[in-house]
Amino acid sequence: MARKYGTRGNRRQQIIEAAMKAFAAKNYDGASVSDIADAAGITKRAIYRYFSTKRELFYAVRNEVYAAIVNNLWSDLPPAKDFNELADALMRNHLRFMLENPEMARIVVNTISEAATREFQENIEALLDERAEEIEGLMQSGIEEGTLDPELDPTFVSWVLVQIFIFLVYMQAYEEDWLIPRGEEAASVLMKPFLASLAPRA
Amino acid sequence: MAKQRLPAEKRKQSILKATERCLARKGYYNCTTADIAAEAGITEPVLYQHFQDKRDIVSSLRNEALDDISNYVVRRVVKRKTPLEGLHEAAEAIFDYTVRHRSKMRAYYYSIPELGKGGLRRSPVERLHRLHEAVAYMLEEAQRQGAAVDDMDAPDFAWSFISLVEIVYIANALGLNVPFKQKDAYMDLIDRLLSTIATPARLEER
Repeated sequence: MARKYGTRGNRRQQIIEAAMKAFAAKNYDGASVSDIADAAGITKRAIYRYFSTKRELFYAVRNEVYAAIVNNLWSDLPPAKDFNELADALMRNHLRFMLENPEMARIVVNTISEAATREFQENIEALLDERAEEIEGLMQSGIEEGTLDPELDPTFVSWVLVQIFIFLVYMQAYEEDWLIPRGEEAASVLMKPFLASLAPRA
Repeated sequence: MAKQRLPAEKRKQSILKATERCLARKGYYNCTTADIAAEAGITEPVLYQHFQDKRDIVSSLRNEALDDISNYVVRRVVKRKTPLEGLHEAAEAIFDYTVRHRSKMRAYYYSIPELGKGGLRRSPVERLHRLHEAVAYMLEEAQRQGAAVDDMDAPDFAWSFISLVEIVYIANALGLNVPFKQKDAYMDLIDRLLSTIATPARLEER
């Protein structure tokens, strides 16, 4: 077999992608380093040149998944006329991405127990805080536009929205029957009553 | 300390309690049967007299947690007269139970890495489906009684309601404190959501 010598970054990425599929399909315990090596078309030794343990590889996969999900949120957002349209577009973006990458949803769900470790908890808190801050900024403009009730606490509501994003990941990982056939439209159906409930009280 | 010989049921309970603490502290992968045995003050062979393996323990733990929270929620919901009040109560009961049993509910979520291995996989999905069925039923009941608007799609709206309820489980699993310190703000969002489908007449009555 001709061996492919990619650049270092390349090869590392290749291993992470193979590991992502293996961990999603068989979980952490079930996926062996040999499986991952086979899937990536390289030797086990080559994997250990990049990651000293299976756990280290697993953490690299996890970080990659979280970064990919977060980076996708704001990419190619259609122009929105107000906060409601924007929140809807964000949620659709998010759901479309999760539907296209079911293995990522599984990794998120499979790694939630790692939130017990301090390092992960700090990471995820920082990550969610950042998202919540972005949404909070948008909420402020929603309040100024008159689409959102000024009595709402923007910090709290934006935080709740971020949690609903995570819930969607769960629904995707559970292969929820209601969600899958609807595709990204499900995000709008889910969000519509919630956004309506944030309007100023008549 | 002299080791006590406990009756089987008591021993099982103490192993479950130990697992709860171990999972909440270390997560699923890092919590081994050796850790659980040490936490329970027994040897691993004794542990294996009561359970087959870690999956078996975790599966008992999650079933127990599930039964507990469902019984608690149902006990509170049946005290309310109308379906919409019942939904408010259900959300509040899930919130209250989670605040009071944070490590138990964390352990429940922490067993989800088993997702995809069969057996355990069914339970989180089933829980969600049972919850959805119950919420959709209450919404339809509210429509029959004229308390909720007719053009609301009960199964769809039920998922919106559930997505707001589920953040309590998720936040707890992630070890976040935000909603637990702001119960009023959280319940305000629940009430706002329910008021979008309440018929105007009902709103005036309240």
